[in-house]
Amino acid sequence: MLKMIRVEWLKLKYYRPFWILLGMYALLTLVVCFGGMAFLTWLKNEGADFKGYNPTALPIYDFPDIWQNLTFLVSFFKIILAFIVIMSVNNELNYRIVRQNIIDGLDKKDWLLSKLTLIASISAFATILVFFGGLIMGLIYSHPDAKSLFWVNTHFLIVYFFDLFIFLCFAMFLSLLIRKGPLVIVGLFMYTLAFEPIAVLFIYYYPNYPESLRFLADLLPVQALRNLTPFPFKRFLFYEVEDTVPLMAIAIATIWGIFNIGMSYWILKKRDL
Amino acid sequence: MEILSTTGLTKKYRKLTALDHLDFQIERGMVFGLLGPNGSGKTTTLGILLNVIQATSGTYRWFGEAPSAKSRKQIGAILEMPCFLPYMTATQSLRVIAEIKEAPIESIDRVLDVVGLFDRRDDAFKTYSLGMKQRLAIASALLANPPVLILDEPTNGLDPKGIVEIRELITEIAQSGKTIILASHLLDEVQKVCSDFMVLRKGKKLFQGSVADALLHQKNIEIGSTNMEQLKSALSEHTGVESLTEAHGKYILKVDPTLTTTILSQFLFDKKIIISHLLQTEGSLEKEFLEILKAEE
Repeated sequence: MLKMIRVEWLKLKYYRPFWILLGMYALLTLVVCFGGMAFLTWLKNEGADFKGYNPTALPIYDFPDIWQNLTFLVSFFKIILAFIVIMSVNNELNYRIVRQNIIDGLDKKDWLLSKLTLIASISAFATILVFFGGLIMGLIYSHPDAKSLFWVNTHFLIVYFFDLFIFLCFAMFLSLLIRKGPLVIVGLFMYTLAFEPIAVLFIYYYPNYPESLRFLADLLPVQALRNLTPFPFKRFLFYEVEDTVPLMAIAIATIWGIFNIGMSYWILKKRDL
Repeated sequence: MEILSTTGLTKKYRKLTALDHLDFQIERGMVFGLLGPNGSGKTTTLGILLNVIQATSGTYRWFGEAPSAKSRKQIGAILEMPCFLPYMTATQSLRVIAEIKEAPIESIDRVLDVVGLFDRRDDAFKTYSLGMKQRLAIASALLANPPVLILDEPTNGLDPKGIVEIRELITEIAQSGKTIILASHLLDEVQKVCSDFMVLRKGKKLFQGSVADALLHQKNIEIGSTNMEQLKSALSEHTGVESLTEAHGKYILKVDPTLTTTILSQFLFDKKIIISHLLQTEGSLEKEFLEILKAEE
């Protein structure tokens, strides 16, 4: 296991696009974490108000809601992390590094494990980043009475890690399946941000769609992950907001995770490299 | 001791049978040439033996054991072309391989020195010439000091100087007692460095044997005389002469391996025939190879 981490690290540490993408994601995370207040201030200056409330008074940084608010937003940019995984897998297929590694005495299982350690490391890095972003903003802006609620709802951080991990496994599986890096990048981008969301809207809301089959939308791989963190901002309009993790979504996402890893292994095992 | 044995290795692509029930053995210390025209199944065979191509059927054993990642660590192999990440330097690439093969990091400089890349060790792989890439691949194969080396077309794309260098390197390595499997379509190359060889065509084994025997089998004697007619009739009486062809005013004889030029000249001297030209020529694997292919047809 440690060996696989070292192998993966040696391969990536000299790869500039890896650092650029990771940096981009880190930057975006910080922008999302720190930019919320700037955004609300801007709204206020534009003269917006929410039913008579000053926008900057919106408690987006209040514990314990902050964790759900931040992870919900940052999760939209996970496609950037997926690009890292796609490029890493694609490079190894393209330059026949997988093949040479197997020849050199790596087990196919070990190679998969090395990619999973990469995925887990990236996910952990992203999670830690949001944690610190939330920590800083929460300590500054949270209502003083709410600070005792710091640890409540931090399970959304674990969910965020899980969300990234499964999504990146999905990216790995697609890269192994399709083998053409640029195609996977464009395909995953379009699918995640356009095709599937449109399909989901259609299934949820199209009037003639049979009511009993609307649940199918929740089974789609990206929607399943989106369902892990319920939409948090309705609470500002005094709606009830779900702040527990839906177990059904966890179950569906887990099945997708097992499917992605299992299929990746199967492809490695069966296909000529 | 047996290094490798295969039984019934078969690989089918949709229509094509790339390998057809291949059985062969390789003993320790052999420099084993895998010969065959392009597309005869050489790389497919090696790919299966290294677990990167799935055989349709058949089995193989390395070091008398079922193949595993552990057995592959004792094999240094390059298949077809050098495979490295273009943005990494020689040293960085070999670090990864040392990690995989559990080889000491100190051996990196040693193998880079052996293949003459030490001075360029900190340049990115993408800046290397084809010859340098090929040599880095050989360095990576040598890294863990493995008892078995597999080299697939190691001189492919090299200039004449590079070819000579690589051949010398292979011969040196062979002298250190390693077992080498060398796939090539260059007969000359196999003849120069191999002790044993196998001929593949369309995925079938046509022949397996030692290079020395094959060359012996190919021993020719060139002979000429002032009186060619008399010479021809005398030669036809000798049982050691297997065949006779005329070329450039001389006869080229295929002879029994025991028939030396001394015996032959004594024989003709007794018949009072004066010889103007007598030369024993080394056979070439090329002729043997063409004959094997012809015999098959």
